[in-house]
Amino acid sequence: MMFINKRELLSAGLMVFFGVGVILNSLQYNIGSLARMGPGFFPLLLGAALTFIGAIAFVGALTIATPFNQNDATGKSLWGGIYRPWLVVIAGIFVFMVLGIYGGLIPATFALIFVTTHADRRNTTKSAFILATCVTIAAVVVFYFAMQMQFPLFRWG
Amino acid sequence: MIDNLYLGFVTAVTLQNLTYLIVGVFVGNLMGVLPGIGALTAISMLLPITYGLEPTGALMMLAGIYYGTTFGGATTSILLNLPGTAAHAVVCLDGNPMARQGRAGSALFIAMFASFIGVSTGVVMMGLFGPILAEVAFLFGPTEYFALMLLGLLAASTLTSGSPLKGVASVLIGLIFGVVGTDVNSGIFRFDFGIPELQDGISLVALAMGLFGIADVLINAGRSEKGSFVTKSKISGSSVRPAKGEIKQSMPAIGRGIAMGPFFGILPGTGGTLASFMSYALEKKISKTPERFGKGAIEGVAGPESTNSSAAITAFIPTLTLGIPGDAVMALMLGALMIHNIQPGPQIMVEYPSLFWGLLVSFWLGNLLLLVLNIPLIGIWVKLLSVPYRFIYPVVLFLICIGVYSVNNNLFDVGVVLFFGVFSYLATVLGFEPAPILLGFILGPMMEENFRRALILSRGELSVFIERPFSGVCVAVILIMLTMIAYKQIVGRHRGAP
Repeated sequence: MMFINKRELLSAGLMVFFGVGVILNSLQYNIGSLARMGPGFFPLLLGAALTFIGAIAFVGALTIATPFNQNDATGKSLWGGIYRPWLVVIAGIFVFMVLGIYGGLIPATFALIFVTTHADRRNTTKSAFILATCVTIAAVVVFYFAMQMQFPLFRWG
Repeated sequence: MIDNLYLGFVTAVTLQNLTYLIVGVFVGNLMGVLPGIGALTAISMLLPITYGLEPTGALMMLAGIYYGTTFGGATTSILLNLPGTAAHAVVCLDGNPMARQGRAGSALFIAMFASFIGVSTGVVMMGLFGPILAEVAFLFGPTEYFALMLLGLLAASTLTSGSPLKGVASVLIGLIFGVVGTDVNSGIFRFDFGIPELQDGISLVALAMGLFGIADVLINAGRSEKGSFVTKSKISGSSVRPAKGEIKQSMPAIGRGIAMGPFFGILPGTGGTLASFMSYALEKKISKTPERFGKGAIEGVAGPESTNSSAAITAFIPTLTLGIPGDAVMALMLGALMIHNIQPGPQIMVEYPSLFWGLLVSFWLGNLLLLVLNIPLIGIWVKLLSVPYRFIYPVVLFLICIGVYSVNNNLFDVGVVLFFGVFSYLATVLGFEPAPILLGFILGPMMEENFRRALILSRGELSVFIERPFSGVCVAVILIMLTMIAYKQIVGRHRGAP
């Protein structure tokens, strides 16, 4: 039985999608001619090249069927069961941004470390608390007092 | 030449610059031995700190961080079987077995020694060929630059990555990211999607940290700890000592390494990684006892290490004299130069001779320092190696966030980092490469500028790229490379494997 490599198909699709998006966007700007290029010329060229390569990759992914199921071999090891670090890291940085605006350096730092430490299952709440406290103290000393960074320790709104 | 070297020493050996160099080397070395932090992550994390310094000091510090991490990477490769950079994957092959056999001290010393010899050669090459290349580069017009950049990008994206097609696509994606921001010719904001923060373009620091820093954490966090300690015996300064005859045994390998390293360094797109793999293959091929390789052959450490280091230094030659970086690290260096308002290109040699020669001398001093520093510090590094990654990555994330914030005191850039981190991770999963994306991003604006100028000068005749001899050669090489890629794809198809 032959399988189509879903990963290759997806990446080719992404290239085409991205390329077409860039083409459509560059058409908003003046294209000009080869001798007098407008701001849209170079991005249009890049978008077209990416779409072209994506199309080749797309045809390649459809016609080269692999004799074994690569979707299992490559797909699973890359995706399987690793949603936790993903969500936790993204959430942590997001919290840093929000608390950076509405809280200040101390709450933002503490929250970032406290949240992201949980990406690894072996880290306990206790170790997260200790690490977050240590890093927050270090951050205040190094970045606020020593380097005079423009980031208030606390702020409201 | 003597005058220039004197100028270099005077520039490098000021209290200020020496301090930056020492800080860079030390911090780099520290980052290099911490698991999960490579040269690119370290440099992009510390790039904001150098914004306040004057350009020479800033570049010395960044270069120090670079070879500091490289040095640290060799240590982790030997002791933990964890290559910090791709170039060190080869050192693992024989360095780690040596450590398993209780010869860690030997392996570490030979790696350091070979690397130092490699750097010294690279420095000499840079002093000899840098000025010559700059002379040649003065003759280049926009046509030549565009052709050379195109060649460099193509080489960088297809030679090292797994799939050439995706490598080229990665470069294109990087070039597209480079388009975001104000168009210099018309003053129009392109691809800003109405977001005022994007009108100055995507922040280099945010892009680099997202592509390498955040993506590294996403790849490594939550996984089981890789690698394990192999040496039960305590490693201290006194144990970093080669066994009898091992220096003698590795000398020929070092000699061959420094002969081929600079060649790879100066070519665009072929950094230390390819060079060290080639060196390993060569050593194995000419060895009378090839069966020892992979089981702790000292030549397998000495050859690649010296090749890699000499290539790493000579890679600065095209970066500084032509403004064309060979790999992502050099691209970051170039980005740092541009942030300091220094236009990369041959005029650097004329306008900022103290920068070029000071940097050259600082390479040598910095590596000497590393050699001296590592002998007493190796015990501390070994202790650091045992800090589990699950405690390191939250701190890395914090340093990324605060570092990117510090550039503009703006939390929007933190969001940009997050975006590129997620993007880079997804892209890596799909087989794209982050390094060509960064290369494309940095070269993009320069490429567009040269492309436009070349065609304005030729009144829109594309044939100018073939007619001018140097760019004609570049175009020919590009065509040959494309043909080879196409050929490989077709042959691969017949074999039924992509």
